[in-house]
Amino acid sequence: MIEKKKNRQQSLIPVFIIALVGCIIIFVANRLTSDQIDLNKHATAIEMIEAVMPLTYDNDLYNDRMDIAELSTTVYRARFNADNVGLVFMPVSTMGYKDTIKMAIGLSYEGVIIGVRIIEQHETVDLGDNIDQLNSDWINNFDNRSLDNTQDTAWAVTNDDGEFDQLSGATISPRNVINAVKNTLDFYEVNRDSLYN
Amino acid sequence: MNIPDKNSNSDLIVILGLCPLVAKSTTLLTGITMGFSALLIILFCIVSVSSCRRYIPPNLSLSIILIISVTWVSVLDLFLQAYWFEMRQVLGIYIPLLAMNSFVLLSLEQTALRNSPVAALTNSLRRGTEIFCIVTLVGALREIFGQGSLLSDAKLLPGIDISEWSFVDGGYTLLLSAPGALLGLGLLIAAYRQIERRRTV
Repeated sequence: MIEKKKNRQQSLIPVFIIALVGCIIIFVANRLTSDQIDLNKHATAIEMIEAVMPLTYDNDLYNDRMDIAELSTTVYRARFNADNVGLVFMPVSTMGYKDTIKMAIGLSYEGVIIGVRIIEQHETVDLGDNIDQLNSDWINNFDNRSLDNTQDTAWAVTNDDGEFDQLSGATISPRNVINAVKNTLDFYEVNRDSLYN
Repeated sequence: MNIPDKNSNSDLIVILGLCPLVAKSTTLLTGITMGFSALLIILFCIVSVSSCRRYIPPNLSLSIILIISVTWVSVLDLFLQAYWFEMRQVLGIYIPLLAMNSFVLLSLEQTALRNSPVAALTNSLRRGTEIFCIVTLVGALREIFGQGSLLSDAKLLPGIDISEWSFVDGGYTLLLSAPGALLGLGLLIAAYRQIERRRTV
């Protein structure tokens, strides 16, 4: 009995050694690459932020950010001479037809949409994926809209008596994108002042 | 060299292992990257497993194989994220999934555990290269017939400027979705078997 137990313990030693060596290898690889990975993520984020923030600003937009737990997103605040110019919500997630859609939404201080871009989507090719700026310019429909110039009921696809084209054959993806943008606007209107502090 | 017995279902396992590899290979370039990543992982794992095979107790071999494959896949994933971020974004979860690829695990268990590093390497180099060719071919076929072009995502290549070859506008978009990968793979296998049959008759 004791013999058996000892055997089992001995046979576990190679597992631990190999696991330890594996840990060391991954640790070294992580040290070698982590700076570059951060740079890449930074560059990708900056590119997307700049795409939805056409206004002039003079602060370090990427680092002037705040996490919003309520929407599980981050806002990047644009300022010019310490005046609030606008902000970018990124990433704003919503459910698509079968997978999550992630987007970036840029708002001016007054709450007017100045740009919406899809960061990630896995919608049906040629149908739902036309929400993506790479495939059609549908997403530009949001530009210059705000809660003031677009009524509550108009934030919907034309099928639901709204003002947005529904991309024939794919109503679900645009509908969810519109709802997510509308929710963001609603959130912004209520919390505007706290978002800039 | 150990040859798996005729009744084993290793063919099925190889095909199952191919499925996650071809899933995101919608273009020639993604196909090459995916296939090459798989080849690299197979080679690294084969060498590591077979060089410490004497210390691997038989009842724990699977756990050790998994630890080793996870290690190398994590390293590959980190380096891809560092030096080819755009491609890593395209391939996404399918790179980490390589660690659990049934084909990788099969070749580790069947060859690496029983042979010396050199013998195991020569054996799996051939199969790994076959896998690489199949994934690349599926990627190229899907790009040609799915969107009527080749190398359309060459902009993902850092520093190299290749213009794409565009043949026609549009194609069978079904091929670009995930089921298209399986259709392409199935058609390839059918074509291969047809050629094999011609040859033997």
